[in-house]
Amino acid sequence: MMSDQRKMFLEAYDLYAEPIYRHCYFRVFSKEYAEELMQETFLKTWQYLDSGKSVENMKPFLWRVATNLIIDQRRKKREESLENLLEKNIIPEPSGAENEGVETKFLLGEAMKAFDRLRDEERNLLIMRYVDDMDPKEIADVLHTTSNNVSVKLHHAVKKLREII
Amino acid sequence: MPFSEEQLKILAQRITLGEARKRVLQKALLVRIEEDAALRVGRAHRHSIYQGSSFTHLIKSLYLKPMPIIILLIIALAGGGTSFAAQGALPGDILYPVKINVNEEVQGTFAFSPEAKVAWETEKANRRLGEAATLTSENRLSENARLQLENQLNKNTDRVKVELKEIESNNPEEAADLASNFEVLLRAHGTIFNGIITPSASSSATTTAKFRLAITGAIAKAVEARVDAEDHVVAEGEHSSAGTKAAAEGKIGAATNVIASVRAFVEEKKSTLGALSVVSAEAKLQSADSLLADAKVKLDAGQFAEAFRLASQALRTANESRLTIETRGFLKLDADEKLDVDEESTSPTSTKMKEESEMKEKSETNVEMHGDGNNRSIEGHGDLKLNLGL
Repeated sequence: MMSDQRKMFLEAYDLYAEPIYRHCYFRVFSKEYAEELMQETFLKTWQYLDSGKSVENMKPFLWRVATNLIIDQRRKKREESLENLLEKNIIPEPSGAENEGVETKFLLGEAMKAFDRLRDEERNLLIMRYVDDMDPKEIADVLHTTSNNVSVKLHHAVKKLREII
Repeated sequence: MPFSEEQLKILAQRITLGEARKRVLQKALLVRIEEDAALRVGRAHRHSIYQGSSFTHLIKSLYLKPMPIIILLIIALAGGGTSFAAQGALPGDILYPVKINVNEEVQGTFAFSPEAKVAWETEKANRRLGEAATLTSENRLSENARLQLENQLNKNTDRVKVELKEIESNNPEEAADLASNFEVLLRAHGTIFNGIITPSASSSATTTAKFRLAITGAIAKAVEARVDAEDHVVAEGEHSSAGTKAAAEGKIGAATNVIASVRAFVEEKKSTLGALSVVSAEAKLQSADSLLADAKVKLDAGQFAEAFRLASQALRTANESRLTIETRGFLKLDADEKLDVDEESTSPTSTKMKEESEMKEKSETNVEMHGDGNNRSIEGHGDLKLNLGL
């Protein structure tokens, strides 16, 4: 692998490890799992670079890799829906949040319940916009679509979120 | 009140990884990248803490094989400058703290599950014991080094016990197997340590004797953990006698296979092993055979719990035999003891060696626990071999 690629990889880790971790956290609501996903994201990126391929724009590439890993995980795992958990009187709690304040834990719980009522695409858009602080153009780069398309879908996702009780 | 995007923004600011954690994960990532590369080109045995260690991996740990240069250069790029030179360090060397506090910390961050943690602590105990054996064989085990190694060994053993308890609550059979592995490792090192002769008049003889006691203490803790787990397996199986019977039959099957495989291994290695190693291994295999035969008798008699325990002991004895040979080989303790395979087994020389080995077997520290779950005692059989120069 070229040394400038290696340098780019290390710089990318410095810049994006924390944001990727945060993105993954809001997708899975588990500190430990978010760390693993973050690590896997960078490992896969390295493997891609090491195979001789180049990455023009690291940020959207990393987000795409993370998104694909999360989709793979959902397909492999059998997930219980929130409804089933509530039937069993299990109150969901985000894992790894033991040291967070009461208000944060409450908000995380509310976020989990709300997100469970959204489609994965809607969740992803909301997280990229309001957690990752990406504008519609950046989100469009990640999703290989137009910023107009992103703006429209984001508008619907926000509306749906606000309607969830 | 509905959850809003504004609340999502507030939450986002409160969820952080932290700089310190980011650095630790970065180092771990770089190590994993190199492991992954090594696996893909088939250059080395993969030691993956995620997968846990196979038995042979307990020996072929990174202590006994130097960490690939490229990993340490990568760690150096990330700020771990002296890691490369530290890998071969022994207690007392300037870079030894780097080896255990930096390199091993990085490797340890991969151990997420309790099983992985047990495997990693077992590996670290293996390294500490190997370092002690190397120093002792060179008559260099100082009191400071002994204290340091003993301290580390105690920590490793205590952490193994804690993690085994957690595994036992979900999977007592796996806990029993892991505990058994750990006990075998300690016993193998104990056997090796007892066989290292130090000059009787040297101060290191006393230090060596103290470390032997430390190994005995660690074995006792390991035995306790293993017996707890086995009792749990038996107790779970007692809900239906079919359960304990199945566990016993499984263990007898496993012991049969392992004894055969270790026998083949000893046969294969005979020409390269020292005489002491060969006769010691054969004696242990005979002992394993005898235990296995007893286990089968108990199984036929319907005493399934006892059959399970005896078969487990047979398995441990066979594994200990193999592990002792491999460890001696890696520590190069057999260099001057080649066996002449052309000699008859009844020749004066080989008979004498066999007698010496049998005497050594009897004098090994042998710690077993007896009794039921509520009332146990630890018995020591035979005399601890001490050379105090008195």
